[in-house]
Amino acid sequence: MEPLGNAQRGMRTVAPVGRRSQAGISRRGVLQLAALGGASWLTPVAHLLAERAEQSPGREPAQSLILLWLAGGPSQLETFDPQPGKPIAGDTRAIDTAIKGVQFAAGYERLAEQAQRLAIVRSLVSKEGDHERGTYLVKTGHRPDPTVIHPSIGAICCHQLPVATTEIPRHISILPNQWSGVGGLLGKQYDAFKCYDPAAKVPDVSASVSDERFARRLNDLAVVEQAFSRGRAKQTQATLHQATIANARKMMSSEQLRAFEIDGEPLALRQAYGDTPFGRGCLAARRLVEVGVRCVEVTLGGWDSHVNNHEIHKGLAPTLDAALGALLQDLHDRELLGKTIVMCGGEFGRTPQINRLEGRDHWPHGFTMLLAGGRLRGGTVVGATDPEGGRKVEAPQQVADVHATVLTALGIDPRHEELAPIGRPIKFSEGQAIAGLLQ
Amino acid sequence: MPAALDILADDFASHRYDLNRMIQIIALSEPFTCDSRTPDEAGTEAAESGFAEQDWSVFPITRLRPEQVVGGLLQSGSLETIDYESHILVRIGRAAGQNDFIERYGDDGDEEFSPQGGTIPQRLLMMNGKQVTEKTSDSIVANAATQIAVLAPSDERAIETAYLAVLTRRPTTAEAEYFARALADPSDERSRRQRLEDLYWTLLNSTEFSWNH
Repeated sequence: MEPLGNAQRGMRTVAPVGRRSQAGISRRGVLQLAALGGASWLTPVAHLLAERAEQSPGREPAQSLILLWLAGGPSQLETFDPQPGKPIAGDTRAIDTAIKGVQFAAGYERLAEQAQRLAIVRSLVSKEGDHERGTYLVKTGHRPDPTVIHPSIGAICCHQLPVATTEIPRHISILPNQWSGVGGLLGKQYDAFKCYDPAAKVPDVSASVSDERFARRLNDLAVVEQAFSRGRAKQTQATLHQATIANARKMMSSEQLRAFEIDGEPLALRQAYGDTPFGRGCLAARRLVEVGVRCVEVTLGGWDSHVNNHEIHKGLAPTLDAALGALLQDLHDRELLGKTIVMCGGEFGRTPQINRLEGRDHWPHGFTMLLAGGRLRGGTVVGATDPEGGRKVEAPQQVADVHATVLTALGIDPRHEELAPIGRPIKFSEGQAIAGLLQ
Repeated sequence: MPAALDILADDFASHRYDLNRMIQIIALSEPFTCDSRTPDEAGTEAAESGFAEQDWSVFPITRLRPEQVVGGLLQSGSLETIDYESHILVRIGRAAGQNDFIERYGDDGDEEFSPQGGTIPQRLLMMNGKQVTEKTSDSIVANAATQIAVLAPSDERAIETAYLAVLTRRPTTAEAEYFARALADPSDERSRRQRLEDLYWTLLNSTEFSWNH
């Protein structure tokens, strides 16, 4: 891939081409429409509309979220917050990025080139040093609480953003580990739909019998349902069982399922993403966003490097660098980056001290999350960890603050409350949006 | 508060808080064996007003937990009871199938009484998933549908056995007649085995199978 030119680097200052106003029409579009319709009398109005459209270019919030989940907790030092030359670095080398004075660990060359697209939060702090609890916190923005299950950020996106014409699940987890996103108090219907390496078929969406036999089965089902609902028609209807079957059928026959199939993409693009399940997952994520899926989670596991930390991270870097680098470029090329937020991180970081097994252990006291897309300010670094490995962090940010930032960028009010089953109001996020990251 | 609760509470207290005794009494009582529905259509008014549920005279329809659904599914695929006396391989096979299924079905946790319906992935899993497909495709070893097709002496007995194996009840007259006609239909291109497999699939995908009632 060619290095980014200045124009590409300065995304904030480049006039957005083809962007739409809040009404969904660009200035040129309004004028063309007026001309096409022969409505010359409309021209002053069209001009007015067009001016308004132009005055707020790109102000519309993003519509989708892609969460690249680095399960196990990646080391900030061997990824996006290296401390070269310091004792805590071990022998990790650092490379320059497109942001002056900001370095990444060696192995992230493609992302380094695109650093102007990234908002890098290096000062995340949390109190959760356990995998399950940390995952819950970073995916929901709330610490685990035995009285309520908070919705994951992807579930909130699906709950708040319009359905439009999407017939397939709008919250999807590709290559999930055991803690994929959940609807929690918003309901199971917002749980992520789980699927695996896009090289294989999506599970459970194809009938095992012919269409004719399947249709007959559904006819027969109506007979059994009728017998069951006698004397409890309303109760049976309230189960929504039949309605859910109808929706599942709609998904089975939807053309949009093809978004999972990446075979038709150009070979060069597939190679750019990487010939790995994660790379294929990221490419599928882009395709899914294009058909209106609101949140795609793609998991890359294996970061839990209690032993041989450096080797493990060297092994994973090419997969992440290729896939995320290609995803950002691809979203940009398709003018989707402004409509999509990308989040990349794991449940915590790893200890500055290297243990006796050449590993690093869990460290929630200063770790990194990458953000990109939408109205987020690229080329930004928030906070800093201690180069000597202490717990003191500059400009510490709570996980909830990242959630408030991302939700705001998606046009969702983080302070919005939903009721838990016991009637307790729960905010989407208790955090404060990080002002410097929002344009 | 329903009067029966007072009777049970008195009995519980006067028998040294014997939980085994209380469970036995409940399980042996007539209401416990009743289906959770009002006797006829005329009675639905009571059910629809919510009065029957409030009065505890009708059990609210509740979602079965994933392990209950998969337990029912795996058992329905066998004409013999799978329990601790079953062959070790049968039990191992059951445990493996169970975990895989629960992972995909999704655990409802403590939310079984919440008024939400099931999910699309749950329906997809029951319609097209590996376990259901195994239990409803031609295999004399792996599933009861094929065994019934081969062993049942008549269509009527085959239908009845399928209902008993999957829904633990006999078919209503209307259901029995409908499926008997379907099994005997000479214009149908499906083999008899396939027709019974389809019946099995249908019963497994009914509201009745996935909801406690």
